[in-house]
Order: sequence, then C-alpha cells, then structure tokens
Amino acid sequence: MAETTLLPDAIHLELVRRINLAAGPDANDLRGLADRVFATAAPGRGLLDVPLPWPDAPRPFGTPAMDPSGLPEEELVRLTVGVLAHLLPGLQPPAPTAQPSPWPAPWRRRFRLHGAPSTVAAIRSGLLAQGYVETDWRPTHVVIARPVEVMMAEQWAATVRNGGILKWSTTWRRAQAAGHLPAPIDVTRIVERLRDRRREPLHVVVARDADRAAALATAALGARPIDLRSTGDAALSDLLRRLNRLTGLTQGQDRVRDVARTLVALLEEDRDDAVVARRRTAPPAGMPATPPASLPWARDVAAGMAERLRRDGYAVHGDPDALGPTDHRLPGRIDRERTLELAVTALLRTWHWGGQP
Amino acid sequence: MTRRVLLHVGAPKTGTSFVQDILFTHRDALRAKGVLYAADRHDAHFLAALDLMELPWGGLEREAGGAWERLAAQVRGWPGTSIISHEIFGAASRVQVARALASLGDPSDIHIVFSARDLVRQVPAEWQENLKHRRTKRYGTFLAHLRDEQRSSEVAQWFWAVQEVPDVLGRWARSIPRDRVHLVTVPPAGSSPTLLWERFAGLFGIDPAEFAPGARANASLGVPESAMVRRLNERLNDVLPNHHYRHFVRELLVHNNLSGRPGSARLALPDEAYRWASDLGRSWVSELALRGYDVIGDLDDLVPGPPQPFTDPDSVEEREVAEAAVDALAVMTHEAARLRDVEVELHGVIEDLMGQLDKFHGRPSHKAKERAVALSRTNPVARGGLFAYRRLRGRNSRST
Repeated sequence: MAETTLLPDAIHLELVRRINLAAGPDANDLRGLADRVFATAAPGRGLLDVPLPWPDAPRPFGTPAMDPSGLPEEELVRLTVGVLAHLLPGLQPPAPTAQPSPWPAPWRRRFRLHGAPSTVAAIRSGLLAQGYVETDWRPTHVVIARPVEVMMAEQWAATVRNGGILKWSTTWRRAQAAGHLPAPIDVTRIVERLRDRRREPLHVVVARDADRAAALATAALGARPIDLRSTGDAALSDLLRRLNRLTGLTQGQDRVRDVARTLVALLEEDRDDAVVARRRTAPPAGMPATPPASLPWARDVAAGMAERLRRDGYAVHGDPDALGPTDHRLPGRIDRERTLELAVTALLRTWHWGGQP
Repeated sequence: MTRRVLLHVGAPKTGTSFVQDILFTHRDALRAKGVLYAADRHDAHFLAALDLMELPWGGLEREAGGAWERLAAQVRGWPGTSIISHEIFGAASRVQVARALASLGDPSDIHIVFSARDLVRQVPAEWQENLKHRRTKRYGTFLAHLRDEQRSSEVAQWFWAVQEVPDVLGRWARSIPRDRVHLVTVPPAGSSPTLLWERFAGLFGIDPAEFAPGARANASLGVPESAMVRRLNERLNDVLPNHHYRHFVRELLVHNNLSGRPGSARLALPDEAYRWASDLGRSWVSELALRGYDVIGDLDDLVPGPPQPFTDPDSVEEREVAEAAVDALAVMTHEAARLRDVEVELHGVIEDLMGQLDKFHGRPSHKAKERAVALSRTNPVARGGLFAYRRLRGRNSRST
C-alpha cells in the first residue's frame, strides 16, 4: 500500500524548532508554517533525508543519522531559503524608493559621489536631505574609499540586491583573476577618469569607519554633519544571493529583483527586535573579512591605490593606508549562524505579513 | 495500448547518455509506435530534473523553470508507454519523489528504472565526471571524502545521493511494488557492445535493432588527461564563463578529442580503496537480492571484478601530462583558427552589407527623403506631407 505521509527528517524538525524559538510567545500564531516547512524539499545539493539517531539501529544505507543539534547551519539555511523562495513571491514587493534630487537651481551645491556603494548611498541620502543636488553637470566629485574588504562587501551587497548569485569567496577570486577591483570600487581608475575635468573639483575620502567617511565627505562639500547607520551586513548579502539563485529557477529571472527587494524590505523595516538591533550596531564579528587566499592580493591592491593617491596630487582627506584590509583576524568566511538567524527572521515576518500560498 | 510510465532515475556513468541519445534521436518514430519520449530539446529531461529538485547547475537552471510540469503533463496525457530518463533524478529527496510520482497520473502505471554498474568502476568514473564539471579536487582527496562516514563534503553527499543503489531505490521505489522496479545491470567489461542497449530496449518494449545507437558511447579520459584537465580547471575556473567551458573544454577537448586517447593508463582504484569499494559493492548486491526487484541482466554484474593496475593521477609522470597538454593545445589552436576563419568571413559579409547600405543611402532619391524627414521635424507643412505620404504608402516607412 502506498504511504501518503512522509515523516520529516532531522533538518526539517530542527528548523521548525528554531522557528519556534525565534517566535517566542508568538509561536502559537505560526499554525501552518511548520506544515509548510515539512512539505518543502531542501533545494539544491546537500545532506539528503537525514534520519534521527536511534539507539542500536545503525543504518546500513543512506545518509547517516544525525542529532538535530549537530546539523550544519548550511543545511538549515538551505531549507529556510527553499521555504522563503516559495513564500516571498506571495508578498507585494515594495515600490522602489528612489530619493528625488532637488531641482538643480544655480544656488544649490552640486555633487557626485563615487566609490563604496552602501556608504555612498547613505551619505547621498544625508546630502539630498540638506538640499544638495547630485548631478553630472559641474559637480564636486567625492570618491568614498574604505578598506578593500569593506568596499568589496558593499559592492557584493549591491550586486546581490540586483539579483547577483556569486558567493563572497567567488567574488574575490574573480576580482583577483581579473587583476583589479570591480569598476565601481576601483578607486585608482575612478580618480584617473575624473581628474582632469574642468570646473569639477575632485576629493578623495579615505576612512575605515562609515561615520568618519561621512564626516570627511561633508567637510569637503561644506555640508552639515550626517549621522550614519551601519552600511552593510554580509550575512544579508549571503542570504540574498542564495535566494536569488533559487528565485531565478522557481519564479523566473524577471522576478528575482522584486523578490530580493521584498526580502530586504522585510529585514530592514524599523522594528525593535534583537536581530535588527544587533545589525545596526554592527559589532566587529559582523564585519566582512578578506578570504585568506585573497589577502596578499588585497594588500597589494590597497597599497597600489594608496601610492597612486599620494603620488598623483589628489585632494585626499584621511589616510590612504586605511585602504588596507582590516586586520581583525576573522576567518574571511560568512558566518552561517548569522545568515540562518536572518533567514528565520525573514521567514517569520513573511508568514506574518501574509506570504502564504 | 497499455499505459506505462518508465521513470529512469540513474545512475550516472551507466550508459544513461547513450540511451537518452537514442531515445531523443528516434523520438518521432518511437511515438508512432506508442512510446513517448517527450523532449523538444536534447536536455529536456535534464531541465525537468533541475526544476523538480530546484537544483542550480552553472546557470542552466534559468532555462528550467516549469520544465517538470510540462514534461509531466505530456506523460499524463499519453495512453501508451512514456519514458522519462535522467541520471540526476536519483538525488531527489523523498518530498521531491512524492511530488514527481503524484504528478505522473495513475500511480499503478508507474515503473522505476535504475541502471547500475559495479561500484569499483563507478568511483573513478564519477571523479572524472566531476572534472568535466570544472571541479579541481585531487583524486586522493575525492576518495577520502567518499569514505567519510559523516558525508560532510558536498562531493560525498552528491556521490552517494546518485550512486548508493539501495538508498536511491529506497527513496524512489518505497511506494512501488517490487515487480515494477527494474534494475538494469551494466554488463561487465568485455561484453557485447550492444548488450546494454538490448536490456533497455527489452524493458521499453522496442526492437533494439530498429532503434540502433548511432554514435558510440563516450569513452573515458585516461590518467594523464584527467590530471591535465584538473589543472586546466584550476587555471580557468574564475576566468572562463560556463557556456564557453561546456563548449570548448567539455565537448571539444574532452568528449571529442582527449577521451579514449590510445596508450593512456585507465583510472582505477588504489588497493585499499579497491577493497573498501569491493566490500561495499558486495553488500549492496546482497541487499538488492533480498529486495526482489525485477533484475534485467544479472546481479553478478554488480560484483566488482579483480583489481586493475593503479596509476595515480595525483602523481602522474609530468612528461605524460605534458603530452596530453600539447595535444589539447593543438586541438584548441585548430579550433581558434577555424573560428578566426569564420570571423573573417563574417566581417567580409558585414562590410559588403555596409557597402550596399552606403550605396543605397547615397542615392539622390534617398537623400531627398532624408531631407524631407528632417524638415518635417520643424516644418508643419512638411510634417503634414510626410504623414499623408506614409498613410498612402500603407506600411511603416520610418526609414525614409
């Protein structure tokens, strides 16, 4: 007789347990989510149908039994992304929120920012709020440069928000194979392109911290100081690139960006919860780190950029040596536990917001 | 006509591509005989597998959205024998298997087909298959990963998901009666080259002579070529896009030129790994014998043969690798020259077309029309005249 009910495996059970834990007192409102998780096959490659351990019953074939508490985070992330990929498209994506630039009246100060994308976006927002105009017509150019691993992380984040699927380590390997940083953060090439434009002053801001970068940029432009939040989260980028890859298959390439925006909006809404609070303060453990294999190259690239900035007479604000990779001794890998934390949070919010089939 | 759905789910390196080639090539003739192999492109069932398992595959998954349901819909509507075949189906989880089986219509019509070869031959073949998919793991590392009982590496997880015969059939056939689970054994080396196809054809209910194979099955890489391809992958992996790799390395270099290179040592297992794989393979044979599946061939085909001489691809003679590399360079140079000839010819065609266009645009009548169009942008009388001209002409004449 055909069996019609499949028992959940260790991965499914552990994920549901973590969801219940994250939901806390709200766990009773999650009726149906557990069934949804159990009915979802973990996408892609990984451990297959992991059984729970049973004493004195070794399995002769198939995936070895595993205690759910010992499952790799990678497997839990894989399954969570699988559930998200099916639930998120049920939510209406947020409308794009392009911040309008004020009308370029002659008395308004004009600027154009280049460099580290997330830091640039944050500073841009503050300047526009002060009535500055971002334009290509005789602006003051400000190149925002930060340590190479921060710029790479921000560029990676910008790429995955636009539907990119590359891993953090792959992004570095490809840049190294190409011999230069990606164009939006290749400070040397940016300043060379901008240097000889008549009536368009050029400033280069180099700083380790986003706050310091903002302070130097506003000083160069004569603007009021801007208060910056943390400008990125590598775990969010990791989650996004996984989701993008799957959304492209399950929903089609034309929906990837919408689903990505929905996920970002879910996780960046202003809520007073522990996960968001931790991301805002961006403790060092959450900072991106250069993969060890790329570290020598990263140092060379940073040193090369610093030498060019000093030698070629640019208006540099800050210390060019700040471009060097930060020596915070982190492993250079994405922290999967953080990715899982964000994924579970996204799943809970998606369920509450009505992203149900 | 009796409805049957033959779902062939593996394993890789058991002649599956060979069988799929025949089915695809003869799909129209098979259909006329009541056998459906629903495929509008050669990789249709592969894409269906990617879709079913939500499996990224070097960008190809972008073409796979909806492929499983499209295939299943055709199978549901077919009154005769339908064949679905791809070797990566074996890696489907129980949830994915349940979805697949539920979508194929009456479950009493479904048969599971699995082609199997002895494990001692499968292990080196699978490492070489990994190389053709851009992997760079050394052979020794690959073997160590397979022997990790926790299956902590992705390569081990995938290998066992598609190759562990009792487990694959445990997932796919758990709700299927034993007489509808067909285990096709790959004959041992030295058997008649047509025997495997005869076994499949018998199961499909077709005449093996009428639907004979055209191309030969892919020969395997030798040891020096394997070592060379592994190093080539290390060099190319971050600089060559997947679609170029598939064309130039996998098809042109490996399948069409380097495979079956005469005189190259064939890849086998080192002694200790041989004993491990042989013992494991024999345990599977014992288990399969107990399960009572319909065996097409002989379970003894799955008992590993005697150990073969082992040449280690991780420490092969550099001279041999160099010879394989020079052969590869010759192939690539020849291909570059051919492509350069095509490029030059295309440039010639483009130049010729541009010349004709310039000649056309230089005609007085055409110049007059261009002046009239330019005038119509600023002169209302000219604009009205052009509008009337276009209406009279009755088709889009925006080029003039």
